[in-house]
Amino acid sequence: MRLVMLVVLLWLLTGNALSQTPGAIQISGQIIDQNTEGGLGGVAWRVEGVAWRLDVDEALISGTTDANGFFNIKLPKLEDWQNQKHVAVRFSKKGFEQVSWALNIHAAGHPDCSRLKISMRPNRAEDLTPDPEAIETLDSYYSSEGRSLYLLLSPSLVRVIGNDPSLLLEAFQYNITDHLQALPVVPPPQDITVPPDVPLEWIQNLEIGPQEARKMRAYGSYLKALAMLNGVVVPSASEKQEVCVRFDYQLIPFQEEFGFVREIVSYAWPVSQLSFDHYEELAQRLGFYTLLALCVREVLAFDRGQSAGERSGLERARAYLVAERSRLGPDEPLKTHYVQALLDIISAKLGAGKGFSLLQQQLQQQLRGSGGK
Amino acid sequence: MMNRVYLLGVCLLLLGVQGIAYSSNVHFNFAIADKRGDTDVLIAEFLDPGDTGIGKSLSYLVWRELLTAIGNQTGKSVILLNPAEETLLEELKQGRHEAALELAQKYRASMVLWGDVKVRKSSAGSRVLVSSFLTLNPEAYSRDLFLTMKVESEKKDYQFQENISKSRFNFKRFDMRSEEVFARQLITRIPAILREQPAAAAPVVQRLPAGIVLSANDMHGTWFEVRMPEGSVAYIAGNEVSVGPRLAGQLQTQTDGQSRFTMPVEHFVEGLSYYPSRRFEDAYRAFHQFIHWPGVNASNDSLASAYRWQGASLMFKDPSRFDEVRDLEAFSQAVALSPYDPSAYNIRALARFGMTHQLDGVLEDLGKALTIDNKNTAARDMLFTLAEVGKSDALDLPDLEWVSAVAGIERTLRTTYVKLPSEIEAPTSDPNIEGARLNVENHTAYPLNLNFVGVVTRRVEVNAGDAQDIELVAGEYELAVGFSQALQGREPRVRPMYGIQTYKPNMAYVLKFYLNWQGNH
Repeated sequence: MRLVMLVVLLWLLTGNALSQTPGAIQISGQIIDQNTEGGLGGVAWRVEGVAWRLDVDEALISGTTDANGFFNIKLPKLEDWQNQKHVAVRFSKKGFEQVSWALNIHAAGHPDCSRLKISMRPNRAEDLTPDPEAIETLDSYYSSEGRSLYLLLSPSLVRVIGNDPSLLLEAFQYNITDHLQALPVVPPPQDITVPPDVPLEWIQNLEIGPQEARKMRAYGSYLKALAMLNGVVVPSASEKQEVCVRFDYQLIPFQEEFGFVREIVSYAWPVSQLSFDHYEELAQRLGFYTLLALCVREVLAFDRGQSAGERSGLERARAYLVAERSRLGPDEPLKTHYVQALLDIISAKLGAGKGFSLLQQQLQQQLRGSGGK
Repeated sequence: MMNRVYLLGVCLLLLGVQGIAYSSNVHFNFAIADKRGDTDVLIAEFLDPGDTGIGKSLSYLVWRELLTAIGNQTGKSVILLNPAEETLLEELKQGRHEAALELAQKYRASMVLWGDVKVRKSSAGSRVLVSSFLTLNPEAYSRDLFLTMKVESEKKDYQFQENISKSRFNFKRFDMRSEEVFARQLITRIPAILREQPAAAAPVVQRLPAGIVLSANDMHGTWFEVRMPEGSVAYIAGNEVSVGPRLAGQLQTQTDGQSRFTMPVEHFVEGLSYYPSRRFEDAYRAFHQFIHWPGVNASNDSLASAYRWQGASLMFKDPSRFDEVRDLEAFSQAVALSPYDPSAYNIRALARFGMTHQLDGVLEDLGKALTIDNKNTAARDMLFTLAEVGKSDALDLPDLEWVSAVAGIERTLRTTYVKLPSEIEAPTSDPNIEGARLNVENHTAYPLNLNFVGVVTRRVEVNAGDAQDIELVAGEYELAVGFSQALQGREPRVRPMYGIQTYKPNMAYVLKFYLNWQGNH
């Protein structure tokens, strides 16, 4: 059964860093079983984005909820967090969909960090058959190569950005290409060619609403897409709230083990603030996720054993990720986590094991033993 | 059809080797390669999807600024690609860095600067948004992209190197008020003509001698719009004036640490141009200006690259006055900005060792590089060389298991070795073993050393005729097996062995080693 993961990155909601200095952080709450509405015990939690880059005790960053579903995460004050804005806590339990909760650590101590109520729902097999009325449209975009990134724009969003969204398409296309082409070259033996450009195609006359993640996956799977990008106008929920433009980006090639990257990355802006700058900024971020999608695709080809060269595809994906990781900054822990988690999966498939943390510990011990020489 | 080019100044460069003697019998030299290529910087017209005309003027302006800045170097040429060549622009638009590299190769240029402009209008006025890209040509740049150290000893010479930076840059978009883009002072470089319109056939307003200072407030194509004393405007052809960076509105004939070009990327280009010419002081200053340009730090990988170039420039600027704390700071900044980049640690290790001849901090950095990527060739090359030089007592290398293991693997890979099988037959399952267990039986008359590099690093010696259990964390390992070097020197038929093997959890493996004098192990 496929494990369905819904990850909504909340950094747009929590992204306005409060002035509070990051210090010791406490996150507490209860996991609720959506079916029974009671506390769900035995849910594993893990703080992501810091574990492998900081010398922290594993017991501090992972644990399990008690029999009634309560958890209490206490993270120590760490100097290294000064430049870090976000971490995520992932909750998982067999038979339930995983949930990730993103935390702006500059807002730690904020009421949002305590007495959290997080619902988890049982897994369900997902039907990825597209709606019959959509198939004819999808067929006109179908490519057997299946390497495209598809953009769907709701009619209302087309009106907001103008009748001709070609500049928007260009922004996405060129920024994603620039990101892939500027990947640093990894030295031999992992020498890599530049990742392939990913064509962007705009699907017209199909609409996916803001809450229709399944439909997005169904259309993407049917098209063998690398990723789907959906742009919609979200009406205001109240008079105080402004109409927003929202883009959801979803990687399509996935399996259960890629739950951590199988996410909907959402970006939203009030319509009054929307400008071409936002599209470019978004497109630059999407370059990163598109690279992940390319790597996931290589892993899946390896799993299927489609050709004799599948191991080389896996090694190529590893090299892409090592190169991508090399240009990530200290203030990008979530991206670093995604890259590292995918690298761990690839290393395991290559038989290399999870090398980073073990080797790091060993070398540190030996260096300490030598008096720092 | 061959593209027409605007060209200024071409000549040859003579570069050499920066030498730092370490001991009487070992010399460490930083090598700076000879420069190849005819052209230094190629500037493509900035793409202008809104057809505002600013792209054409801006690329011309950047060309003239860089001519002023680096055209004074002997042998430096700055070429502006023919703006009328639309096919070329379309190729660049579609092919991006790949197309830029083809251009660089075609013109034998070291680098191509390109970009695009957009104009954003609002009630507060209009702003020009410029995205700039830089594509270096690794062929033309030869080895200047690397920091290279040559180790010359009595027995053998070694060399190791690390990239100073990557070769493709997407710079953060630069945002200017429209009226700021072209406002500057100009100096007529030859007798010049002010005209009523930006066209060679337009009526003459005034004839000017060389050396006259003018205030420009806009550009039209390659023509500057100049404000006249009585308030009217006139136009002067761009090729009749000197265009320099700006300092409080004053014209500078060259950059001096205070003045700025129109865009930060130009300082980056300036530094990359000075560095291979061994004008390290100028290169250092140029990268300093790039780094300290307000707002440039949003692009951490470009900034990290600038710090690395700045660090390399500082090292060579005056090696005799090297200060470890002060002069390695730029490399440390690069590490801080790109903490998951093994090459950031390698290059700091290389610089530290080359300049101080001390191992303090060097092994930590190489260890960090290997923890990030245990296949990193630069770190492994450097460790191997240090281990080899250490054997000659020229270096007080501490006896660390991981250093010995990595060096053992690298030493084997540099010799003729027998390939070990990728799978060991008939392992036995044992749930009591937490990881994997290797029972190594040495049936030879000589001690064996086994070097494992993978999930963890291990180096184990097994005495002649002895057997030993080795516990490893399960996973993939490079394994190099060797005899003492003295034996291998005496008996060339005894060859080391190397292979990549995977050891599964809860499994016990048996490795038996025999000497077969028929020619096989």
